[in-house]
Amino acid sequence: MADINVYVTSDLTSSERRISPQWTTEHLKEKLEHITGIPPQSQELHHYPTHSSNSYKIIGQDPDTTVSAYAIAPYSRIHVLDKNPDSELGALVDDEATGSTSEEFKLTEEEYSKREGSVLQWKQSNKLGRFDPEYVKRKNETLEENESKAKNIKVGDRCRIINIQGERRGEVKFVGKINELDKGENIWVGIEFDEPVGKNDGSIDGTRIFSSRPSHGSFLKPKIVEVGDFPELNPFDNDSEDEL
Amino acid sequence: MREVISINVGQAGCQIGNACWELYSQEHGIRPDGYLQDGLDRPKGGEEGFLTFFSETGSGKYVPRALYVDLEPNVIDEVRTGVYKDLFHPEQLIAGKEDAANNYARGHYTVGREILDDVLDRVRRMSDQCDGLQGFLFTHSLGGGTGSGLGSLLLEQLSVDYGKKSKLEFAVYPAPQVSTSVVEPYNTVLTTHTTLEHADCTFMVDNEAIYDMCRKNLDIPRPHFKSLNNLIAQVVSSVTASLRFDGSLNVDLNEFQTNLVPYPRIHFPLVSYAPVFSNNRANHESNSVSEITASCFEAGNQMVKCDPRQGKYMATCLLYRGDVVTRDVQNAVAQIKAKKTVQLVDWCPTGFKIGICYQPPTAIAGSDLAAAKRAVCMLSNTTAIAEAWRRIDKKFDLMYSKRAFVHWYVGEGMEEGEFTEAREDLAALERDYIEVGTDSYADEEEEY
Repeated sequence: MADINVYVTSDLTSSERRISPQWTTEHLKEKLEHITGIPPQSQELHHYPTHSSNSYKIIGQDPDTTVSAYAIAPYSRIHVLDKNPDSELGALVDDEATGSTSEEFKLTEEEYSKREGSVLQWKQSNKLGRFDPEYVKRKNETLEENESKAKNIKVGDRCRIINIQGERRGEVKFVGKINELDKGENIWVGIEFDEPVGKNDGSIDGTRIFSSRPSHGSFLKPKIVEVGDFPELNPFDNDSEDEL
Repeated sequence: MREVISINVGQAGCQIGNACWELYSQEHGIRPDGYLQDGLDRPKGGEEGFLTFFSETGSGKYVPRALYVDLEPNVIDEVRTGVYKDLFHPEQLIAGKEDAANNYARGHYTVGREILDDVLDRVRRMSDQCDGLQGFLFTHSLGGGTGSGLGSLLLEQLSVDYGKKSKLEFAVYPAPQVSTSVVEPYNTVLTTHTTLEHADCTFMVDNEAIYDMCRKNLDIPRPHFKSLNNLIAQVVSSVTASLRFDGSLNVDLNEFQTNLVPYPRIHFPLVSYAPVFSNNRANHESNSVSEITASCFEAGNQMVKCDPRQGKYMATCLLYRGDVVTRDVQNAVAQIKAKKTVQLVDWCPTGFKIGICYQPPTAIAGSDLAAAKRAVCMLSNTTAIAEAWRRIDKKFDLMYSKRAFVHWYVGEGMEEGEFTEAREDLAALERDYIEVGTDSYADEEEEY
């Protein structure tokens, strides 16, 4: 008899699998352990006649019964339940639910810089990016340009930004360096936009730099901030002009 | 002749292989028994390209330059008894008796080792039949036991035996939401670490992305593997079309690497494909060159779920097939560039590379995907794909911090140190992608 394609689901897994009608229940459960992580003795098998049906039949109580006896139709579903409350898997399921990131692997800056064959080493040895003197020169030039532009931007100024997203207007709320953002490398302008077209509420990773309504705040480089007489845009102005 | 040998490993690899060879056969006018369809005196699309993927027996029969390898017999038995049973020589189908139980260690060390010599021997015999072997095309999954374990073992060995020959992979990458097996994150991290220095270019496909495409664009409420694999085959076919058909700006296998991979570790281009639509919708779609090109930049057409707007592009290849003229392509590319949706890495050379193959796509008989007059496959090396590694690394950490199921691997003779080593390598890969994304002048427009 040919294999049957079925769905196998459990806590943490869902997949399309092939099972053989000739297998014994014992063998089926071994296979299911490798998929679901639930040992055979803790498995309770629920057979759902279709993937989305709500009623099921418990199967697989006798280890010697062959799979063919369960009349499993193609693309029906076997759900594997873990009856052991203290299982290896149970701990994982709890973690997944709480979203706990107990021990995230960290590669330090130093460890990375020592690794052979990294992109960092490639850039270093070929003088690419920030290891290119030309790049550094240009970078410093823009840094200076930004600093001199920042001198003419004061908290309380009206301003506008024009980029891919179009024109946005607002008020300058902050001018200065931000450690939390880029270790204080650049000068940033904090803006509260008139409309919710910003990225945040004036805080970076929980540190408040200025305060604004949610999604009205953003930090931008001085170079693209234009200050002057830019009153709030009336969204209906344009329309009426268009009609004339 | 510049031959390419395809190697399909594990259940997913073999089933995708089936879909691909079925499609290739139809595209070139080859019957399931390996002979030309009635009325043809040579394969469609010219013989030269065709013979990179098929060999000729001398009696007018053509045989795929392909190898099927699986540790358990059932999937390969189906090839042996299926519609295409006569297409393959029995020697091309290698099956073991005992499966890898979703365990990388079994595929790589214990069960997989036993079959290794046999497989290498058959690869050797196939390569002996080639005049000028270009390289290998792998299909396997990263999450299963055979695909990850034996797949990486073979890639390692081919590096030893065939040195600098190109090795490209199509790899099924775990879906972001649900794992197909509880140890999938382990298998994926372990195999990626092992193959990182052996594969030249890896095209990843995540089943969830394909699944969503089948549901939304092909109106299949609950797609099975068959539908997913048919769609994957269509993508693989458009990547290999330029190798298989004469007259197209003929591409070499190693050109993918040359054009897409600026640095060996950064070899995971994001694949997008358009158009994907069902027969029901066929009459309502116009699919101009600029439309299908723009579609490639939409998340719904990507083979891996990630957000390219958050990334920077190192290189992009647009592979068109069918009724396409250069002028339309140039216009379409100009439109994309004007939209500024594409941020480029500007400290290393980047570019748009265009390929056109005049053979239109073929619909697999019984497939839900309608035949289009033209199609495009975009391969783009973008830093956005690093999201895929971050996701799997996080899942790995969640399990490994509890050492959950590590004993399954240790029980097969693997050392725990290999887990840490692999995880470190993947962490470095994430950092590599960040390093690629920094130092661009365009950073002036940054907003936080």
